[in-house]
Amino acid sequence: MDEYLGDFITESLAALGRLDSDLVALESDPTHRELLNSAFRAIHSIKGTCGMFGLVRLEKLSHAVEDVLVRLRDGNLVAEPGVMQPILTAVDEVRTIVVTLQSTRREPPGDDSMMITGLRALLDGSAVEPITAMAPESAPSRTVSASPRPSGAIESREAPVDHELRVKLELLDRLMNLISELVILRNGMLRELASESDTEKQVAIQQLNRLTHGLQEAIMKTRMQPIGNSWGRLQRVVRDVAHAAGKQIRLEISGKETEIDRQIMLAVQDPVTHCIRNSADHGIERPDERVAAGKPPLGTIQLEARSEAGKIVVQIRDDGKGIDASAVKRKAIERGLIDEVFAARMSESETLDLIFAPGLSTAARITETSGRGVGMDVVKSNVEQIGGSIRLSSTLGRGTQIELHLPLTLAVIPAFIVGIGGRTFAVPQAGVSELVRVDERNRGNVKTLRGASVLELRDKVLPLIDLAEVLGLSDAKSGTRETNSDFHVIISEASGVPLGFRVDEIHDSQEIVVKRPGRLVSEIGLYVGITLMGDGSVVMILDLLRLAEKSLGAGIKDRAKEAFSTSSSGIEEPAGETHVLRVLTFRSISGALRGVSAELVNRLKVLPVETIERNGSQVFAMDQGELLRLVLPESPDLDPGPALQDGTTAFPAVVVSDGATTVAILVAEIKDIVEERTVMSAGARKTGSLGVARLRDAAVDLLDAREILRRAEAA
Amino acid sequence: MTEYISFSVAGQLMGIPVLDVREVLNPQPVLEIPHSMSGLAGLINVRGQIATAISLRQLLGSPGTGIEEPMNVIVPWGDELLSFLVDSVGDVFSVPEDRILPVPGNLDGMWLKCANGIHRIGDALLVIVSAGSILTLFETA
Repeated sequence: MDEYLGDFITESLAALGRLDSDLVALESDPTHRELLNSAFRAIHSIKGTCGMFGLVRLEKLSHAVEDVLVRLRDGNLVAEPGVMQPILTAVDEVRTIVVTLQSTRREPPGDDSMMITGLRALLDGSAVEPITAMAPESAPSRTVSASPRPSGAIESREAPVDHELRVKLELLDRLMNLISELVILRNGMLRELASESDTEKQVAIQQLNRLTHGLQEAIMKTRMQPIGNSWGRLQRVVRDVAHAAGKQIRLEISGKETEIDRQIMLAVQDPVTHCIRNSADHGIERPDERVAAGKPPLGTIQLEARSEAGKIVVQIRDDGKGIDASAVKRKAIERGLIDEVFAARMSESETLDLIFAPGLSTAARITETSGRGVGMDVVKSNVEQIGGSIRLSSTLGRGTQIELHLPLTLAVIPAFIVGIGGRTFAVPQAGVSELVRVDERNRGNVKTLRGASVLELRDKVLPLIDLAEVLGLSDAKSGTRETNSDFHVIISEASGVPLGFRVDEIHDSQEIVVKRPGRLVSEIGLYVGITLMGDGSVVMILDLLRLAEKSLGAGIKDRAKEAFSTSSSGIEEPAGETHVLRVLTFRSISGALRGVSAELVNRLKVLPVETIERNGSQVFAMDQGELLRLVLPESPDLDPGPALQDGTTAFPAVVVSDGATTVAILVAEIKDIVEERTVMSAGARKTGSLGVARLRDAAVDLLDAREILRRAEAA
Repeated sequence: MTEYISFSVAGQLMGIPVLDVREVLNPQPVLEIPHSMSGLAGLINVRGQIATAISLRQLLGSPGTGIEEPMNVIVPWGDELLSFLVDSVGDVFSVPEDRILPVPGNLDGMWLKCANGIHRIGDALLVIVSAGSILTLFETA
């Protein structure tokens, strides 16, 4: 009997989910025939089966709901909000009863007489207006009665779909475990027999490989579900928020048939719900505000899922009021998350990323529905925990867009098997952009910058995190490792900023089975999971992002940017590609229109001639207690003296700094700060120039400020 | 009447309900985990399933991982597998529930926290624990 009860609960919950969506949809489309029918069928099937299990409370309540739905279905009652609200509330109560039934195997005690009376009132009171716009019914008309329906009355249930089969989740999990062990075994055999010369054995190995891979893919597919399965309640969420706040909001969902691994789907359900609730609560304005802003009073939230090259992308877009970047900055400064100097240099996208910082909320009032916006940091960490990423963009006044990138599966991932401090670890390949081997040829690129270890890679300077040190595995005896041994660096962009991770060796690249560790191990927070190697040994899978945070401190993005300025809004990108540049433009003393990366600009000063002094061939100015070297942009090594002798009493300068060195660039006139998406042309790169970019319809020659700073430091 | 399996940690006899235990294994290689908290010895491979190895000696006795080759008391916990590392494993004994003695309040810290009861066998006193009571030793509050 217990098994039947279990089935009843599962089916009822599914029916209630459908009922919810149907009821919400009916509010906007009260005469929709199919919705009316399916809503009725859902509650009818629940009511019908209750009797079998002696679920008295459930039967009474669902019966009362069914009576109202009969009226709706037969056109004797209109599905307007005054009618729908009591129905929705009652359905919520039905769900609560079923959920309690699920965990305690018993109906919770309770008195629904108030609710039932309320529902009965709908039958008596407003049962008058026939729906005039309805199409003539093809079904035979029924007499409507308020008395309990005879149990023999049958509404045809939806015919079951033949080519699908119901399978218990435990069985699928077991299949998944078995195939995982097979994958591990396969990996082990591949490695052992890699050097096998016997062709027959080679052929057998390849076949084993192919079959295992095929089996693995097929079984992973069994865990795939349409992502729409977890989106059933979203319409209701939006409706409730809208009603409570007096707003008009429509939720458009597309791509709900996109398939996704069940585990990921469940993990991402709450984050998606939270983002949608946020859009409804904080994004979409009230109808009067929208009209005043020239928008239609009905706000729209679009939820879309699509599959893209090995990922699932989920997008949540609203046409609400967008995010006020300056308000976010102000709030962040207030909360002590950033200081004003740093805030002034932040780009718009960096500012929006602050939304994900814990403790930040710009909602003017604490609303019931979303709480204090404390969720976004949790949303981000939930998404990242399953190996996904989240990006937010917004246009003030026009709307906000959140994009989640999710992996297709969690169970088997490509990884690098590495050696650190004499031990073996696995590093997921996701997010890794490059592997660099450091040996005598390029050892010079490993440097120390103000006590921090960095790697110069082409024209970027990346923090270099020594994983042996972070894991506490470096040789205790010598303290530091042999400075002359070769090693490898794994470059990962998973945090949004490129970071280099030092490992001793990279053994192998393999598809590994990710096993979730127990609670105690998960609490450590530095590991994505554990895996079994072909030889039975257990290997930890490192969470590079968490290890970086441990090494650099939380807020690595800010710190890394502050110290190393490697964000994508800089200019040090290969020419010929489209980038968003943020440039301070100025006219140089020679008359040319030039620009310098806004990121490097520390301040703008007009230096009075009295503060300028000479020391040999170098010229300095004293400003804010700092001695600044003055240079001419075109020729940084040249003595700027002559340029200062035309009788002018004050000289405009752009003070640039990379955190280590500060230099004042003499200019004729400071023009503007421009942020634009543009293409940089390689052109003839003369020294000191990064290339020419078209900004605001002028050709701006971009100064290689880093080069200037480098040379100033060296001098 | 409950059956317990007896074992020894840092010289102290202990007992855990037989129903909590899946099996007892000989010493196994333990993978140490960097930055693991005290008491978490590491991970062991039990026929393909990975178990969390918990060193009772570390939690209850002297510092250090203790005996070089601890025995493994394998205990399922929810959908995880745990292995309690103990010095040695003894016999199974039965005790009627009402014969289990209450825990004296002057037992030292961690022992007090995980002890569910005391039982006397001959001249020796055994500390009765369970999988759940051992896990409370990891809670900070």
